Parts: sequence; structure tokens; C-alpha cells
Amino acid sequence: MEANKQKQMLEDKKHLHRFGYAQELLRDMGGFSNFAISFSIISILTGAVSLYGHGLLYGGPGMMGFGWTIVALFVLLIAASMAELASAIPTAGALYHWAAVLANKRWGWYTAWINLIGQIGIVAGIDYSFALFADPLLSGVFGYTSTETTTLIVFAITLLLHGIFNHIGIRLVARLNDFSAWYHIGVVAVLVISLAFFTKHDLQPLSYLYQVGETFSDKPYAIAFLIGLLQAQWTFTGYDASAHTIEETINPRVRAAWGIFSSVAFSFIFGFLMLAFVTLSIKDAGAAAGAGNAFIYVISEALGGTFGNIVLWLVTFAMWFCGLASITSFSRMMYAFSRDKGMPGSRHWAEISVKYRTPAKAIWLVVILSFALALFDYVLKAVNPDTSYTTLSFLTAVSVVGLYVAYGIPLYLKLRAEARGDFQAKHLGPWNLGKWSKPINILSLIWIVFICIVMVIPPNQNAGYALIGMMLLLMIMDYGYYRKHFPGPEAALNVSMEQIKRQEAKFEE
Amino acid sequence: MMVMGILLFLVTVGIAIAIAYQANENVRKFDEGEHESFLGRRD
Repeated sequence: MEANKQKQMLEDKKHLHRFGYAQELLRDMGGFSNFAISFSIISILTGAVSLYGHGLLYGGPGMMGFGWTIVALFVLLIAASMAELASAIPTAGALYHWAAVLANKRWGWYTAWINLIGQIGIVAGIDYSFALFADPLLSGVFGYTSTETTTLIVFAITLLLHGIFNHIGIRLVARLNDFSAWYHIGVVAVLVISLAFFTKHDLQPLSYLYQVGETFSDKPYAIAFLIGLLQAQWTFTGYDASAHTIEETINPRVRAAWGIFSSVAFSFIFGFLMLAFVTLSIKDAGAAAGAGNAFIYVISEALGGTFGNIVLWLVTFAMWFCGLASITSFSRMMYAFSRDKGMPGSRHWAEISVKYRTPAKAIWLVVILSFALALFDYVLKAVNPDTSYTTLSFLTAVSVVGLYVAYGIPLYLKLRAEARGDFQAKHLGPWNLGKWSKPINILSLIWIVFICIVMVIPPNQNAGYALIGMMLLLMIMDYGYYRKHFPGPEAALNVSMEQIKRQEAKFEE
Repeated sequence: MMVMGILLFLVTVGIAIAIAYQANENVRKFDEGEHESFLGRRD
């Protein structure tokens, strides 16, 4: 068994060497751990729960039956397309590296930055959401008053803990993610069984789940339904984590590909079960849609306030695991981009801790950047306390569009490279879609274009303006410096085997 | 609408299973000897 593992790890190292990279990160993750990191970031208990009110407000109960399933159907196609590329080009840079080799380094550079913008918003958004949930709960336990300042302190402590766990090593983080996957499934099971058997009032008939035409917003239903899709679309993000941790996974060309695809598939099933039972236990949809937290409101009405409070704690813990995994994914992406010298100060962010085999400086940069974003939000609110503007919700909208654009670019470039005859069947990895590849890639791209438009229509039009602004900034950076100075992943192909071995020897001592 | 909703759910599950089956078949049939790493366009 151990001999097989060692043999496989040698093979994996050889594949990495072909791209000119040394095995610096600790390769120790199995298939379940790779699945668990993406499953934890998708975190049905984070996205689907915190945005349950958004979905219900705009799309009514039918959003949970139709909206969740429609989004899942297309996200499954996107995940399958990404899994195929991960199997063919198994490096931690993932989207960025795929774009660079399928077209050129400048496509790669833009993809990397768009991905980074998406990732920073996701990390800050998740950990800040955790702080928003945890602070009032902790204030009840420790007897203090929850304020903007205490929320910021909880956020800082959370980031610090996530930074420490990630710094210490992938083994610990992988174990926590494994636990997180089971934890998510366990909480969904408890919720479903409790709602099925112990709801105080009668459950709604199954047809209620597919009731369309009723919105609690002031928009026409068709538009409201589209806006409501954001609940599911926000939830189904971050599954590229399986690709970013590919250099830490044993037999990654198969396992990371399965990790990407199966994390989406299982999130769909468990998410559907949870949303279905919560929706069927709604007593008054209008009151729930108007509540501060619609999900907790429905649970409390159905099972009592105490159970509602317990669920709140359980969901808050799930957010903590989600934030932990997000930092792992983001730091690996930053490490991979920096080793190709794509960022200011790349030398530091590409540095691997010899003791812990993690990109320690990249991890702490992620922590600092995430805190800076929330601090910016805090200062804005302190200067203008009456503002209804929330930086983080806006950034989350920006980040999701950013992530999906970054998912879409390599898929488009793959189709283009295939049409030009550059990328052929012999280049596909073991996990591939065969003759289904092209239609699945095309359908994925159509959905990405569609959902990116939906995400920037009012009330989220500011996200669209911000993305245009960021693109302009990236173009200034590109034309001002990186166009001539970014070597791209192709430079790694000139690294000799002696240099690679020398680099790896540092970690083998 | 309920029938449509249930059908949509079943179609989504069916597509997921079909993709998983196809990918698994391809993993089993994969021949390392015919594979070539894609390192980019060599202009």
C-alpha cells in the first residue's frame, strides 16, 4: 500500500516536472480531502442559508425548486469542463495556467488577476459573514454588546486563526476539511429529519416547492426570478479549490478532477434536500421573506426558538470551515502566480516554508488583504453612519462575476485551441469527457455569459461598473509594466532538471 | 409545474450520472503511452 503510494507520488512529481515546476508543496491529500476542500468552500450551509432570504424575496418558494436545480444543472457542466482541464494541466495555477498555455501568457495574466479579485472578495466575504453571525451569538454568551467594532474584532481573530491553521500545514487543514464535509452532511441530515417529523404545523404540499409567479419584491416576476438565481449561483463558487490544491493531491489528474465535479454534484443533492424541507415547512412566506434572516425565521417557526438558535450555531461553524478552506485555495493560487512572477513582490509570495511546506507568506498576505477590505468597510461606515451602502455585499457580487469570468476564459480558450488544432485528444488527461467535451464546454460558456449579465443588472449595476474599472486598472498595469516583464509559465519550461532537483532538495532534508 | 420541476430534478441527476459514468470509463481506458502533456503553443 505504502509502496504504491510512493510510486504514485513519484509519477505525480514527474508530471509536475514536465511543466518546469519543482514539488515544493507537501503532496499528502487523498481523494476525499481534495473533494472536501471544494465541498467546504461551496458550503451549502453558508451560501444557500445566508442568501435564503434573497432567493425567497425575489423568486418565492419556486426559487428553491426550480432556481437551485437550474443553476446546479449548468454549474455541473462548468465543473465537468474545469475537471477535464485540471486533469490535462495539473498545476496549482489552474485557471491561470490553463489560460496561459491554451493561448498565451497575457491571457493567463488577466485570468490570474480576475481570479485573484474574485478570491479576495470571497475570503473577506465569508469570514466577515462568519463574524456577523458569530458576534451576536458570542455577545449572548460572554455578556457584551455586539457592535460594528466587536464584529471587526471577531473577524480579525477568525482570520488570524485561519492564517495560523493554514500556515501550520496542509495535513491539519485537510483533516479539518474532511471533518467539515461530514459536518455539512450531518447538519443537513439533522435539519431534514427534524423538519420532516417534528415541524409544529403541517408541511406544505410538494407542489409548493414549484410554485412560481409570486415575488415579494417590487420587480416583475421574470426579472425577480433572475435576480433570485444569485442565491444558488453565489453558493456554487470556489470549487476550483480542488485544482489549486492539485500539487498537494496524490494522483491528482484523476482525484482533483473528481473533486471538482463531485463537490458540485453532492452540494446540489444535499442542498436541494435541505432547501426543499425548509421551504416545505414555511408557514408564512411573506413574513419569512421580510425577516432579518429568513432561514432562521422559518426554522424557529417550525421547530421553536431554541432549535432555531442551535441551527444558527451549527451554520456559523460551517462558515468557519468555509473560510478556512477559502484561504487555502486563495494562497495556492497566489503562490502559483507568484512563482511565475505575475505579482508585485512575487519572490515573497512564492516562498514555501521549509518547516511546514506551505506558502506561508502568501497565506498571511491573503489574511492582511482580507482584513484591509473589511477595515475599509468599517471606516466608510464610521465616516458616514447613515449609509445604506455595504462594501462587502457589493464586493461579493463583484467577486462572483470575477470568479465566473475566470472560470469561463480557459474554457473559451480550450475551444479556440481545439479549433486551431493546437489542443488535441492526445493532450487530454485521464479524466475527460470524450465526444461530449465540446457541447458541454459550449453550454458552460453560454451559462457563464448569461449569469454574468444577470449579476450586474439592477440592483447590482455597481458591480458591473466596478468590474469595468478593475479591467481598466489591469490594462494600465499590463501596458505599463507586465506586458514586457511578465515571463509567464512558459519561462518555467527553460528551468533545467538540475535546478528543479536542487529546489526540491531544500524540502527533502 | 410540479411535474416539470420533478422532471428537471431527474434530468439534472441523470446528466450528472451520465457525465460521471463517461469520465470514469475514460479514466479506465486511459493509455499513458498515447498521452502528451500540453505545454502551450510552440510558435
